[in-house]
Amino acid sequence: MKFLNSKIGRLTVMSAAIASLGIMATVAKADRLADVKKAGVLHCGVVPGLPGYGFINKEGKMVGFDIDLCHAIGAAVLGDAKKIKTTKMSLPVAFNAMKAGSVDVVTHRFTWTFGRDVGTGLDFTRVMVFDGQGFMVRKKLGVTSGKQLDGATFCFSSGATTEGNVADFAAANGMKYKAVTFGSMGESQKAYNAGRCDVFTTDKFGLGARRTSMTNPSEHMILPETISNEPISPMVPHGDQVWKDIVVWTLNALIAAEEHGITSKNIDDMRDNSKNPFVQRMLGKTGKFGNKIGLGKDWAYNAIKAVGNYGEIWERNLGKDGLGMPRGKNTLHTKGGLLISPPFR
Amino acid sequence: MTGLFSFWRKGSVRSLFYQWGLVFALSFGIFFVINTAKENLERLGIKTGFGFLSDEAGFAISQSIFDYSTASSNWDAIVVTFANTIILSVIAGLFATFFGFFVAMARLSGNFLLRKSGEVYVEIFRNIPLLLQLFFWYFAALKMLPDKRQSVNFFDVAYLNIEGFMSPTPVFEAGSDAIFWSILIAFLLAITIWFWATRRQTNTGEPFPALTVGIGLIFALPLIVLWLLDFPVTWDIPKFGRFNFEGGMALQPEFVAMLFGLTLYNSAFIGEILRAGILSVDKGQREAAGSIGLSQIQTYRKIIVPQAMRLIIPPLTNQYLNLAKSTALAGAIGYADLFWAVNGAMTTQTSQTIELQAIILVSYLGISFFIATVMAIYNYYTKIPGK
Repeated sequence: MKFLNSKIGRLTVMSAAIASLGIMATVAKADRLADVKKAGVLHCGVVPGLPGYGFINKEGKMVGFDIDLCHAIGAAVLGDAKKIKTTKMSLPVAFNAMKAGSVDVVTHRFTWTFGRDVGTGLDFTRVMVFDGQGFMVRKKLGVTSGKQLDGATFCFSSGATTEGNVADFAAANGMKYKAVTFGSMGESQKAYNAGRCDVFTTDKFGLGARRTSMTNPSEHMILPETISNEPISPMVPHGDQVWKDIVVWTLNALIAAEEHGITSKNIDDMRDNSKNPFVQRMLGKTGKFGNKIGLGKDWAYNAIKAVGNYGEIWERNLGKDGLGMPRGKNTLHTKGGLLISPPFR
Repeated sequence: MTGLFSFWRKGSVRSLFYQWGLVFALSFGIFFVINTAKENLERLGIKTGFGFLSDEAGFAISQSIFDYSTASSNWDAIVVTFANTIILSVIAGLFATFFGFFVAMARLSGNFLLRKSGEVYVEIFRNIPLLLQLFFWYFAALKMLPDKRQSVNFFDVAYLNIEGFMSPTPVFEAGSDAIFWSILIAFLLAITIWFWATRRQTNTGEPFPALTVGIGLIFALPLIVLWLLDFPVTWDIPKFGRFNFEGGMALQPEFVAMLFGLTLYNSAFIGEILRAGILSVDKGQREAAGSIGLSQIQTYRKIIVPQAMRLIIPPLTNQYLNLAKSTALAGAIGYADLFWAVNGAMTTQTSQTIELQAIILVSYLGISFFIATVMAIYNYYTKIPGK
């Protein structure tokens, strides 16, 4: 075994070992549901720093709308909302991590666009927030419309759809603008707050959230224009249809629960006593919906029990118990909004 | 070992076997990585290729020396931001070397206060992570600079505010080609004079102030030409529009903060490299120079520095490489460098991750290779002949 003790011998063995490890690593990626069950933990990619959506609260815990969605999926798959692991990422990193499949789901506010969906190695699941991009300016500028922003300086953060939207808006209105683009939304906001830019721009719910953390929130105003549609959707890796179905239908269940009046508080009563066949099927009292997507019959029950229905999640994080933002288009279709779940039939 | 394996006892056969074994193992490893990547890309339905480079970039770049708009192509965006990376690296490299020289002088000084200040400077700037320093300088700059509507006015031609320092740009009119030619001629003349002066000093021992004359020539000749041509240059002066100054050029706080941070951080290292080089020259050399009546400055220029250089160049090369690579942090504070553009906006908009990462790798490798080559050539010409 002199060969193995020689330097070159050791190198050769090591190279072979690394190569064979690589083979094993790639073979294991096919069935994500099995992987998650085996690991016993759901791995979510989140982009921290936005109040209401995903941020670290006073107790040092990651909380927010995005995080609750992760809890819901974790509860549906593993039966326990606590069995999640959140990895904090920057926007471009989250995007690449999703493509590489190194996280199970990204619940951050990513806008669903053609360019991001097609031929990119990831899939969008369902729209959870209907948002649109807006502009925030200082009141003292005396601007009342986005069309008066010709020649202004915009603060952006790199890798978002915001840059492209402003470019389109400027082209359509014959405007010129200057841009300063930062590595993260946090720096971008700080620079605007310091006066480096005239305009801070992101999705309107995001603007509302961020205005609360300006030095003097009352100095700033959000202009009336909404320059884009920003349908926000969680993402999963492309090519695993079973896994995608699980995420999509867990999210659907949260919306259906609101429509049928199921809350985290009354859910046990609803499951046992509701006469509504949709509710019975969804909560696993009748039918085998859970088994059909590879989960237990309690999957939807667990998700709703853990974080509540869509309305509860909204109010806790973005609504009256959180940032105090109106729901806008994010109400049920029965109340004139855009939220609708395909039926549990 | 039986007779059949007796060839194995030959050292050269064995080493040949090991070497080829390693080559095969490595080739297999590389093939395996590429093959896996290909399979994964196919499975995920990602299209590969560099066709996206001619697509519209669709994002704005805050600072560019070429014409660039959101309608320009991805390739244009890469060229513009690559130029930004080079500009920042070169200027920061020059500044860091310049300041590093003073840091070294301070640390070698006989004056206690100066020596200790140098030490404190080095310990502070080289021990705090660069990214923290960049954030500090950037947001400190934004805090100090005046609001856009309270700009500091320099004679109605230049202004300073939170957008940066706005100054006029020259607009060259007909006949101004002569200026560029005169600068070129002045350069050639200066180089000729330098060669002549060196030869004369070697032959006769008489020195000639070639450097002073050369620099004077480079400035004087174009000015004379300008005067003869009756100044065919007008100025584009910045004017305040609805929100910002328009026209002229702007030195933006993002660039200045990057320059500041990189200069201070790297000058601490470079100062130590220079100090080590100078200290490595034997004390006897200094005493010998003194004994033949060379002044302090002459001793440094002709005796110490040429010998110190041989020790300084290799670590200085490393420092320049570090500096060039660390410009990739620029995106954090909004300076539009290559890494910022390619890894940020372009990655999420085109999702050609592998191609874009390859472009970044090749670009930085190119920059590093260029620096290393230039320094190696310099090293070759300054080494002791025969060693």
